[in-house]
Amino acid sequence: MFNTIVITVKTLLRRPSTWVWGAIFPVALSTMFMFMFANLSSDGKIDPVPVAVVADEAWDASTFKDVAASLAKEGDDQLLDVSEYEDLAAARKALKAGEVAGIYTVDTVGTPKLTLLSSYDSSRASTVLTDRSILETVASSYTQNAELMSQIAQDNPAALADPEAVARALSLEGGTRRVSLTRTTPDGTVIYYYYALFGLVAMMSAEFAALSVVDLQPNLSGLGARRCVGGLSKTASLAGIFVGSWLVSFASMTIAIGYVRLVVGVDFGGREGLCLVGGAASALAATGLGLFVGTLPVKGGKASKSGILTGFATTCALFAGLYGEPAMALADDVARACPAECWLNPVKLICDMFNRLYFFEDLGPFAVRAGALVLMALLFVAAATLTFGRSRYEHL
Amino acid sequence: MTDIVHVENLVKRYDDLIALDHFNLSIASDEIFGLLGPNGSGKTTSINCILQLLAYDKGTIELFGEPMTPARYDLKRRIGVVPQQVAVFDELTVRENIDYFCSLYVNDRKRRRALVDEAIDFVGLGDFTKFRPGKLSGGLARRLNIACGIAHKPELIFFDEPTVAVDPQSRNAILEGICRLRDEGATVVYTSHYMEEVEQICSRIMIMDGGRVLAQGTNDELKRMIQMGERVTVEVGAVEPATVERLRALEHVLSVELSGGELVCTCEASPHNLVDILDTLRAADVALGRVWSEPPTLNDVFLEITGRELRD
Repeated sequence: MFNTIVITVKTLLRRPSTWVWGAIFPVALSTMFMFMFANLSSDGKIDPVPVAVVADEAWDASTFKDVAASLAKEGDDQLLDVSEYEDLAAARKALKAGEVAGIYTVDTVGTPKLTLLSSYDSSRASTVLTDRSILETVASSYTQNAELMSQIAQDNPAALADPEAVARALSLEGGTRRVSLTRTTPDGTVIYYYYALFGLVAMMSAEFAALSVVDLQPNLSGLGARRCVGGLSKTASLAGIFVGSWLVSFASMTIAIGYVRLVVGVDFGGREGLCLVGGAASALAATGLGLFVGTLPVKGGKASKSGILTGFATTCALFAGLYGEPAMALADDVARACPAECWLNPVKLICDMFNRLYFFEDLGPFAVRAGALVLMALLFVAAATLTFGRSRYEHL
Repeated sequence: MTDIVHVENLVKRYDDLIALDHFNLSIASDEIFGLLGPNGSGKTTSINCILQLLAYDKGTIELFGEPMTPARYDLKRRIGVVPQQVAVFDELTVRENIDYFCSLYVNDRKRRRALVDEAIDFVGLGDFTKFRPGKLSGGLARRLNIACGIAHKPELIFFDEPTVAVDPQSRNAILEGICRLRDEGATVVYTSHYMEEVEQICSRIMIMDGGRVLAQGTNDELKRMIQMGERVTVEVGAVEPATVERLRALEHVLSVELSGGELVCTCEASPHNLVDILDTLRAADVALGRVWSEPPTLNDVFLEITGRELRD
């Protein structure tokens, strides 16, 4: 069996298709993502939100004016672009013209009010909604903090003796404590695409086992017939092919993970070693799948099996959200409608496994998903063994 | 003595087609047994059934005196197979291929190395050990195919039409090699539709057609089974139809054919055939050229039994 493992690795490494799908494909796709997301990252820098203020007496007397002014101060962290208008009518005119995203007014007791348009251009939905969210957050945070100060003045006036504490309380971040719900702070959704990529790379490597097992099937190749009359049992031969193909598949995953970490520079939250464990589990599931498809009694030999696996992998990748935001939304919808899909779609399962590893402090969810991949591999291998055991060389 | 191969009443059907019809076979040790028959006669099917590659409908198969089943790897380790088509890994070199197939039977790496070297020498591929099969000529690829089947020194070797599409030089080398294997103690089952090869190397021959055994025995035994004992060929000038009729009327003449200046008379075994034919031609003033006489071939045996040529 050891020699079958060695021969499987050798033959795979000497096939150009192995290098294409095992090394060039993950590197090329990762590189493409790198350039796509680098662009996205620079675009992701938020431009100051244009906002109108009605500069009346109430505005001048309000401390909200100071808050707005500090947020409109030019610099990298400038959040607002404030335009002062003499009256509300002029401000509304600017709002309707799309010159500003909203209007801040202050009532007689100094409470800020935000005026927005009731409708907006749906083609700019993403920008408009982000701008509105920022304006709402600024106003509501100020109101909450002002309420807090009022409460403190009533309950413990001495606490207001410290001007720094008052300034801190009135700032947008005052009174709140930043708490991360995840182990690592995600850099947008970029990392999710790389994890979906790992899933696709793993599934594409299923071809290694499928093509290797064709060379063991008496009904598909003369070579298979010859190997089957040899002195090594079918089970041992199949096991040798499985291990050999898994080694090559794991090497492919290692290349993908290594390239994304070292060249693309994606942070794995210091869990690179466990990422490789995840890669090994992914390769196991892919190899099991490949072995199963390889033993299926379908006409067309290697070409048809390769086609089946490519179709399966790319379809799974669609439902894992690899192909952009619409696919990501579709994947989320499908996952919500049918949670079992997350466990049955190997690309999604691999993607989720890496996500859990990155975001969760607890390794349990990662281990459960890695275990599910191993279980998937075992089921595929069992099915492949049954199918292969029944194959015979039936032609004249 | 126990037969190395013993097959009884083997029946193999492909839907309505009977590929093997109560096929019986007994092969003793140290012989080269020839399975002769046209394409589709059941030669390869019978071998595939014996090797358990094919499931069969009826019959028993024993190898080395023991029942053969798909899981009898102990028996399979004593067998070598050289399939009809070159069945090796395109991605591996000559040496790697031979080593791999040898490893299916021999685990010990040191012993295997010696066996691989010996097989390479046996088929004369010493200068090509690092070549991949795609770089070899057809004849050399056939030799590699043979080396992969014999490297582990099997006691019983199946050669399934190993000389198809091989040049005469390589064919002779292959046939000589098979005889050497027999001399070294191996029992060989050799299938072919080339009767000359079978006549040349096989100690016993079975003639098959349509999945049935038509005849079996030694080369001489098979030829004695038929009525024809001799074929006399004479280069002639113009021959009158009446002369041809007189030849046909001769006592031991079975048939007469005149074609392209050659007169071919098929005769029963008799010491006077040549004299009688030449006397008849001289009496009719026919101009004579070269004259020769041949014993019957296996093709004649096949023709007489089935009414058609072996290569039809």
